[in-house]
Amino acid sequence: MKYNQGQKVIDEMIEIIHNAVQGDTARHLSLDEDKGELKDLANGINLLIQELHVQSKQKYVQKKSFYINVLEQLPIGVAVLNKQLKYIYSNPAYFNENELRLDALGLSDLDLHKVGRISRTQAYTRYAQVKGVRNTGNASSLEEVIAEKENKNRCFVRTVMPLSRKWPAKADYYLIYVIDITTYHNKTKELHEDNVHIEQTKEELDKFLHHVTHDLKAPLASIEGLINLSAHAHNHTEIQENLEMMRRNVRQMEEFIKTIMNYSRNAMADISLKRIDFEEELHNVIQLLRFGENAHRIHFNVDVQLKVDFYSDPTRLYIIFNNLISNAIRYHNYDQENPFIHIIVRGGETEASIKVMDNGKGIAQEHHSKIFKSFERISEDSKGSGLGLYLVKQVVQKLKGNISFVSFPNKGTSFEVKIPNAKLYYKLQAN
Amino acid sequence: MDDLKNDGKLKNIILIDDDEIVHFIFGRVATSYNNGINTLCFKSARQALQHLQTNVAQVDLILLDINMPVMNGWEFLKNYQELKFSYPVYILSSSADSSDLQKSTTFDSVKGYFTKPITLQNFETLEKQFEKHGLQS
Repeated sequence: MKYNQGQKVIDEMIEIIHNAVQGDTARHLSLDEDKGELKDLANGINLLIQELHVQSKQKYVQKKSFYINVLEQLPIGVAVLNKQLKYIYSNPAYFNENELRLDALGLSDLDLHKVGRISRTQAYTRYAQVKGVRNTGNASSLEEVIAEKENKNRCFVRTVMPLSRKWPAKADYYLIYVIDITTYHNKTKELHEDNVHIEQTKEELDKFLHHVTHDLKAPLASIEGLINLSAHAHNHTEIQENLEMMRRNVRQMEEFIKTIMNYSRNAMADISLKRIDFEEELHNVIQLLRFGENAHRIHFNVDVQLKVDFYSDPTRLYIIFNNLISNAIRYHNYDQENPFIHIIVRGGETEASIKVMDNGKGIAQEHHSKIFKSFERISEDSKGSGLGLYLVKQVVQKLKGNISFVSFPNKGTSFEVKIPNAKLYYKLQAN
Repeated sequence: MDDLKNDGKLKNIILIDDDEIVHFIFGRVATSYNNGINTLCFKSARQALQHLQTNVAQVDLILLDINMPVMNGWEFLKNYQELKFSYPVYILSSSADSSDLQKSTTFDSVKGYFTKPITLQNFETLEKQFEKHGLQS
């Protein structure tokens, strides 16, 4: 073997060993005859390189399985798209179910829509997102809401970022990761709803307070005015007249405070159940109200028919009866032969219906929507607080019942209250 | 002075308030201020508007309550200004609430705000402002 040839073989060996150390174990030395006495050495080097090759391949497989393992267990959905925007990898969290995951490989989001896997909106939103990333080279995130059964939504933040082997070249792949924010989303929504509710309650409370202070001040101001007049009164009759008016104002205030107290009692006090004797309860209410001006002319008719015993909260029922009947008396039409108020109660296992019907003045259609609102007085002759029917509605709601009415001007009004029979609860309480 | 006051221009006052006791107090205070004052009281804003529209009324000024059923003081003022009435209006309310006071200034026809009960001093103020107003116009 000539020197030059030997030098060439050695150079070749050095190059291949160098490459192998750098990680390229694919090349081997040729074992031609021309290597002469160096053939054995070349053979030895080839064996070494082969050994290196096997070892590095094992390491690679180990490393790969380590990373795959991490990705597979990650609770965050991860997927990779190729340049054609088709899935080439996804971890279980991405598609939730293994089978779906595997047969999605090679498909794009638009394909997934075609096979009915995702909705059209979802497919096109995702497609637009990835295309945006492809055009700008910047990562982008968006919220994805997926409707599930029973009206429940799941909510995700989906981020797409470009991946390239040689930075800053154009992307070769797109990495997607998806984080489930449903719990966070629901909490935020609940918090928002709570806030709106608090804001409304605060507004209602402010309005309520404004009206209450005003309605308490009005009769007080009149009393003050009457005192001023009495201080300069010329005779006893004048003073008597002023005192009578003061008394009217005091009664008005008392009535108002009673309503407010009933309102707060209804809101605060627990429901206390008793068997209701409708005839007796109604009789008591009518007895107290019948002495009012004109009321004695009204013909009352009470008709109670219960199939089973009825249980409810007597204090709250009293508020309902008292307000409905006193309204019927106050706004009755006394320019007629036979002013009447019929009270009809029908009760069964589940609920009782209480109807209070009159042939009084009635309520104009335009006022029907205001009837149950607080501080709405729809009659020019109203001497009330504008809280009566509002209170009734609150009480009925507290008893889990409902209230409705039918009314025609100059014909009359019929209120109907339906209250559930709390018989079962009563029995449970008693045990 | 008393003679001058009796010859003042303030003669005809309208009160709009749903509370009859307020009518009574107003009438008494007005009479004791000046026996020659004519007062006209309405129980509802609707009745007052009807009266103003159908009668060529002798009106120097209007006292108006805010909190009334069906048509309240603010609704009255809206209608009143739309109908182009120009008699000066003074609020007479039991509310000393600043938000009500503020709201009253948004109506051009409102010239003042009194809290109940109405007093002799209120009448003196009304008279002074009425005379001033009369001189200006």
